[in-house]
This record gives sequence, C-alpha cells and structure tokens, in this order.
Amino acid sequence: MARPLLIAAAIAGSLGTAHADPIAAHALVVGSNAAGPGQTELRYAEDDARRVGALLTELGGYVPASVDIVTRPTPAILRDRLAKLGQRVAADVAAGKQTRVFFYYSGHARATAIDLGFEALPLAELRQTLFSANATLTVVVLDACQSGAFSRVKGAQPTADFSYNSRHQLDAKGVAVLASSTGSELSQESEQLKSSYFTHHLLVGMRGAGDANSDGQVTVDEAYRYAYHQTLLATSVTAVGGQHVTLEVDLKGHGEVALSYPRAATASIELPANLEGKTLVQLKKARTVVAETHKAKGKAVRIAVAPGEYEVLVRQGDRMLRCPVVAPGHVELGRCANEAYLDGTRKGGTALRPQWWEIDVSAMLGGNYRDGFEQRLLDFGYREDGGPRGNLGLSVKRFWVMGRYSIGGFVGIEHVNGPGWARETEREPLEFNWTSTTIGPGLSGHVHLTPRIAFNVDTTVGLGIGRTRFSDQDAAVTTETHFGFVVGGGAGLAFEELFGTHAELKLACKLMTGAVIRNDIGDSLDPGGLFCGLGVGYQYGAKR
Amino acid sequence: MKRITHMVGPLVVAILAASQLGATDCGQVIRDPGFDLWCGDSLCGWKLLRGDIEQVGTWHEADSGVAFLGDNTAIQQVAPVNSNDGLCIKFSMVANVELDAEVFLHIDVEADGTVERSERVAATEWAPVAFLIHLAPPYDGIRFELEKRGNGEAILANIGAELSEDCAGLSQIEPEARPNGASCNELTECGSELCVASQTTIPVASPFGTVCAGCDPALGCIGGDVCGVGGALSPVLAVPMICVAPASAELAEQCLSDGECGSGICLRTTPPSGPGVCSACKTSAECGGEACGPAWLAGSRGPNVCQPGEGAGIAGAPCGSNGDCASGACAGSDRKTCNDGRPCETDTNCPVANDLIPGTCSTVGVQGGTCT
Repeated sequence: MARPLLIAAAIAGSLGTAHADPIAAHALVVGSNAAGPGQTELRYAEDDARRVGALLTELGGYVPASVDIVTRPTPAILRDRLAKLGQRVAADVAAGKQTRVFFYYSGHARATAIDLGFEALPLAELRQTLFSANATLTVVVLDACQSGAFSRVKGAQPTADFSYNSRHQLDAKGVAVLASSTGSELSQESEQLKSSYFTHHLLVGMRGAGDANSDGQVTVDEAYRYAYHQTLLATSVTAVGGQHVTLEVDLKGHGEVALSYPRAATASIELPANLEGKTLVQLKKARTVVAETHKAKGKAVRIAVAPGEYEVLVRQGDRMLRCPVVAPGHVELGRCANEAYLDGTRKGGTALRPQWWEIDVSAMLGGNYRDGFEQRLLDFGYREDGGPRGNLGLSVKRFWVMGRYSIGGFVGIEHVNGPGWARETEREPLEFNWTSTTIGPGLSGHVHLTPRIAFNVDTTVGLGIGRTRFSDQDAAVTTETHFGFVVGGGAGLAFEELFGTHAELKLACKLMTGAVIRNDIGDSLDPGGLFCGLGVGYQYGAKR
Repeated sequence: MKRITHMVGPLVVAILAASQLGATDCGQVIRDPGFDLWCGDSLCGWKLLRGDIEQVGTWHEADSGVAFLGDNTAIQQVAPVNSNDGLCIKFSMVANVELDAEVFLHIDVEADGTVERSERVAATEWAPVAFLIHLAPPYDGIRFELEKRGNGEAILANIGAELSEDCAGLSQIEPEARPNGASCNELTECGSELCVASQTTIPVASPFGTVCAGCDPALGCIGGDVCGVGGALSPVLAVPMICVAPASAELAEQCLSDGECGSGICLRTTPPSGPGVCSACKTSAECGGEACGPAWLAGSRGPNVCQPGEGAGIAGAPCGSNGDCASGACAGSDRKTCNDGRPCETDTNCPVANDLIPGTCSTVGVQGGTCT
C-alpha cells in the first residue's frame, strides 16, 4: 500500500552526545491516517508516529515530556502544537540554551501542503513556523507522497545522490530535511511491516543497523544512507516502484549530527559479521516485525531493541534461517533452524499487489453490423426501426499496480438492447425484438498518462443470455431465451478523481461479438458491435 | 356467329390510364405476401388448386410459410394489376426447396387459364428468389400459380409481387388474344375480334365500357342461339357475353334477354344497367294479381317471384327461398354470388378491390328453385 510521506528534518545547532550535552531537545511527532478528497485512509501513519516518538525517547536522547506525539490532528490543532513548540524553543533560547527540534510527519501530502483529512496545512506555513523558532538544530522528517517537494525549503540543497557525503557540511547549526520520496514519487506502506517502508527502515537504521562506523550513534547521514538503500531495495519490487529517500541540508560548523544512540540501548541484538541475506527481526510471541534489513557479509550489525525474546529470520535463496535470540544477545548461526522458504511469507511484499476496487457503470450506443441473422430478417421482408443499439454495462473490478501500470480482473454484466424489426401484414404487424445480457469475467489494464488520466483496456469473455420477443399478425407474443458466448474488448480514457472524489469519468469504445440468439434455420444473431459512450466509475481502496 | 366491332381510338388509352389507378396496394400486387393470413388450414389470400398445404414456421416458428405437401400441389392468386399500373412486376419469395422437388411459378396473364410463362425455382435452402416479369400491354390481371411437383420438401415464404422498374431489356410476355370479358380498345385485341359495350359488370375501370365478347347483345347470335351471359372466367374480367342456347339460364341466373331464361323472363332495369336476372314474373299480372317482387335483395337483386317471402308458393311454383313456398322448402341449388352478382364458389372468384382483398362470395338464395 502506498501512501504520502514527507519527512523534513531541520537541525538547528550541533549535537554532541545526547546524554552528555546540555541541549534542550524538543520533538513534535505527527501522524495522520486521515484521507482527504480522492485519498484513501492510511493504515500505519499514526502507528509510525508513535514508534518514532518511542524511539526518540528510547534512543534519541529525548525525555518523554519533550516528545509531543499528535495523531490525526486538524490544522488548527497542529498550529497550536507548533506554536507551543515554538514557545518552548523560544524559552530555551532566551535561557541561553542550545536547542534542537525534531519534527516528524507521516500522512497524506501534496507538493504544496500536508493533508489532514479534508483540511490541509500549507508547507510554506509549516516551514515558516518551524524555522522561525530559531532552534539551533532543526530536523524535519516527512514521510508522505511527494515529500521531496520540501526541498524547496529555503537554503536547503538537495543531495545529488546517495554518494553525497554530507559530513563536510555538517559542521554547524542549520537545517536538515529528510524526505521519504522525491517531489514526484509516491510513498508506500507495507502490509508486512505494518509501517511505511521509509519510517520502518529509518527506525531500523536508528536502532543501530545504520551505524556504519559502529561508533554507537547513528547520524543523519548514516540514517539517510541506510534508509535510502533499504527503502529503495524494498520498494523496487513493489507495484508502485522504487522510492528514493532524499536528504537536503543547510548546515554550518563541524561535527556529525546524531539522530540516535543505539549504544545507549538497554538491549540489542547483534547480527554476526558472517550473516548475509534479507533479515527480519520479529518479536517471538507477537510476530511483530521490529526490523527488516538486508544484511551484508563482513561486518556485525547491532540493532537496539527492547529486552525480550525475538526471532531473527534470514532468507538465503529458497531456504530460511530461523534463529532464536534473547535480547540483549546475538544471533548464533549454529542454533538457527534451516527451513524451506514459504511463499506465504511473501504476502504483502510481492511485486504485484492488490490496490483498489472499482465499480464502473457505462452507457453506450453502437452501430450494428449485418450478420446472417439480420440478413435473414431482411430476406423475410422485415425492416429495422433504425435506432442504434444501446449498451448498458456494470462491472466490479479489482486492480493490481505495477508502477504506472495496473492490471485487474473484473466481473461484469452488459445489457444490449437491439433494434426492433417489423413487417406489415393485413392484420397486426409482425414484430421482432431482442435483448442480450452478458455476464462474465474479464481483464483490465490501466496506464496512467498523467496522474489523473489513465488509458484503459478491457477484455472479456462471458455467457450471453439472449431474449427474443415475437409478436405475430394476431398480436400473439412468443418469447424465447437463448444462450451463447460473447467475447469483447474495449479501450478508453479515464479521468480520475473528479471533483476531488473517488469518482471517474470514462470515454470508451468497445467491440463485442458472439453467437447468442439463433433462429430456427440456423442463423446466429451477434448481439455485439462497436459501441462508444460514457461511463462513470468509483474507485475504492489505496492507489498510492 | 355474326361479329360486329366497335372501333376505339388511341385517345381512349390515355383516358383509361388516367382513370384506372390504384389497382395495387402501394406497389404490391398480391394479397398476403407473407403467407401470414390463414383461415383455418387454408390460406386466406390464396386458392388451393390441388394437393394439400400446411402452415409451417420459417426462421421463427411464429412467422409462417407454406409447405407444399404431396407430389402435385398448387395454389394461385389472381392479382388485379393491369397495364395501367405497370408493365414490370418483381415476384419474390424466400424458398426452401429440396433437390427432388420442382417448384414453378406460373404466370397466367388475364387469368384466363392459359399460362404464358413458367419459372422454375431452383433447389435452395432459405434463400431469397426473385423473378422479373415484363408484360406487354394491354393486360388485365395476372394469375400467379405456385406449383410443386415431386416428393421433396418445398416451403415458400414471404412472397411478394410488386411493381418494378427493372425490366428494361427483358423480353415481354405477349399475352394470348384477349379473352371474352377483357377490356378492350380495339377489336384486334380480342380473340373474338369483337369489342363491344359490356352489359355485364367490368371489374376494372373502363371509361367506354368495352370488352371483348363472343356476341353483341344488340345484334344477337346466329343459329338460334341468343347472346347471353357466360361463365365467369376470372375475377379480373367481366362476366363474358357469349352466344348461349335459348332458355338455358335457370331462375336467379344472370341474363341479357328473355330468350336466355328458362322462365322466358329476364328482369332488367330500364334502360339496362348491367345484366338482368332470370325471374318468374315481371308484374303482378303474372301472379294472378298478387305481388311480384324480388326473392332477395342481399348482394345483387334476386329473381322476381310471386308473393316473395309469403309462403304462398304451391308445389312446383318458382321460388327463390324457402320463405316463398307454402311447404317451406324451395328445391334448387344454392345461389352464391359476389357483390357484382356474378356466380362464385369462393371469395377468390370475386373481383378484388384496391386493397387487394377479394370481394365476398356469399349464398344469397336458391337458383332454379321450385317449391316442393
């Protein structure tokens, strides 16, 4: 599941060892699952905020009272909390203290604002409020879609690539912005991790996996490197596609800016140097994933965790090592069970993931083409009433996403109302009418041409149920029911998120053909034809 | 037979053409083209000549066609189309004919019993078939006969015959010499070489009222015969005037002169308008002072009898209905006539109106009746 994430880290002031430096640290941690118009409710943004808050107090050097965790706020509430944060910082500054501010936001966002349900807080206002507090060091972490748009923070310079070495600039107070994705990417959540990819890997990195130099603290640069690699690695196989964490800094002075101090943890799990592979650390009883990392051979990694019983799962090809660990402790490979890897563990993490439901209703008109049945009617002197065929469709679709492409399956019902045929007699006219209803499954494909315009293709094979009505010269009516198969395909454009809602408007044409209705001398009536018309759809579920 | 001719000039042709429109129904020249109208087991618009037919479904069970049963079956319909309507007719149908069945369309111009052309319908499976019929003027009416021979199955449906303009270049069907009763403009048109003013009803409009005839009532016949009313050949022709034996017409039959009737009395209007009817009396003088009047008035006027409807007729007295007789029984044959008074057996013997529906053939009384 994808979601908007935006992390901005502003670091004002230098950080030494958190436990030793007389620095006033304040954190405002915000999470909101709330969906606005055209958005889907997030699942883990608020949980992520709580985890971040917990880690800040556990390993980040923040006292609990200084960490303000706010979930699902309105803009008014968030403004109030920002104002209080500013007041606290101002008081510390007035007292001559160095201050650091950590702001974290997880939720929906756009390039110009963070979305708090049906209301929004402009990024410009957020920036202004955060930076006007004049903290020595401000770290802003935004976990949201298009969070890279925060690079427009005044004075911040985007890093060119992961190869960027920020150490040379982390020598003074200033601002650092860590964003979960670029200005044009979507940020994603993981069903398996029960977290956003970015926040999860950021926290794992801060727990020690990102401590590249094993000095017991994880700096902004280390956290960025770790989160960049792990997030990109994890999201590159998702349907939405790779997600690039960005870091922008505007720092002066020397010294590294530490985000966490895993060496201060009361417990940790050490992954041995010779362990290699995708590694999962989970609480043994709760089966909750605490950390997921791609462990490279050659260097031990220590991950700070709460004391307790854990399992470390290491995937190696089609085998999996299941290693029991009691924290604090380390993985002993000799105690690991070697098991076959079950596909089930892939659930939620495969390249093709269910994304959204869609209900479509369409109304189309189509021109007929002559088939043997209709030619027979002409031979027998019948004349068509001249009206076009009408097609009404209803389908329920389920889509899976691969980047800008989506494929889906659906079940649909199509009703075609055929033209009337008549022949005059000396009594009542002979009248023949037919309808056809097709029920069946199909496949759909989407490709987004723009964020809100998609090109769609559909194919279907269905059971056609034809109904005929014949009124004879005495006005006696005979009805018949026929069955046959119908195949069809169509293409069109979908204009999504109409008026900021889940609704979409579709312009489409479809070609259907089949042999459903048969007459008594062996001719088949094709209820299909080329139809073009309008449709409306409603999309339900997380698309991003 | 003495033949007297009346010359009619070309001007007549133009007037005839202008006055005789609407003998077809919107271009359709036959009735019930789709075989949709069934009267019981018979087609309402078609006459079964021989064999047997059956109503069967076609592409839909409720859209009927006609199956020709047996190895020699024929149906016919006389179309009132004439040369003023057009000279080209497209006859079409949907046919399902097996290889061992022979189906023919016979074209009898003037419906006089002489088939001028026959077309074979090839073996086919529910295919549309059409024939173009190019006729030479003048003609009055066409009898279309559909005949099937052989044991194979033959089903015909959606028959149509409509005026067309697609006959250019096709050879015309030259009719035989025009039969008695056919309208004529010149004596050379008539097989009898006699074109006279008709004294019987002409079913098609004829401004001068001239028809081919076997005799001229004004001049009579030679050899003791009288110029009288012959048997009707066709509903599209006038009942022909031919020389008949004297006193050969029964009570209630049509007549032109007293000598034609067995009763010696041919009751006609004065001046004559249409044929008369052989009657038992003209005035009360022939009835001993009792009333002399028509035995019936339904359809055409019935024969005059003494004390009609009073139940006064003694045994052997002429009668037109049972009500005329004291015994309550008038012995004779049923007198069945069309609206114009011509004798008939079925509706299809009667002249067709502009909507292609034949006139009604109904029993009006007793022909040649005598009280028992």
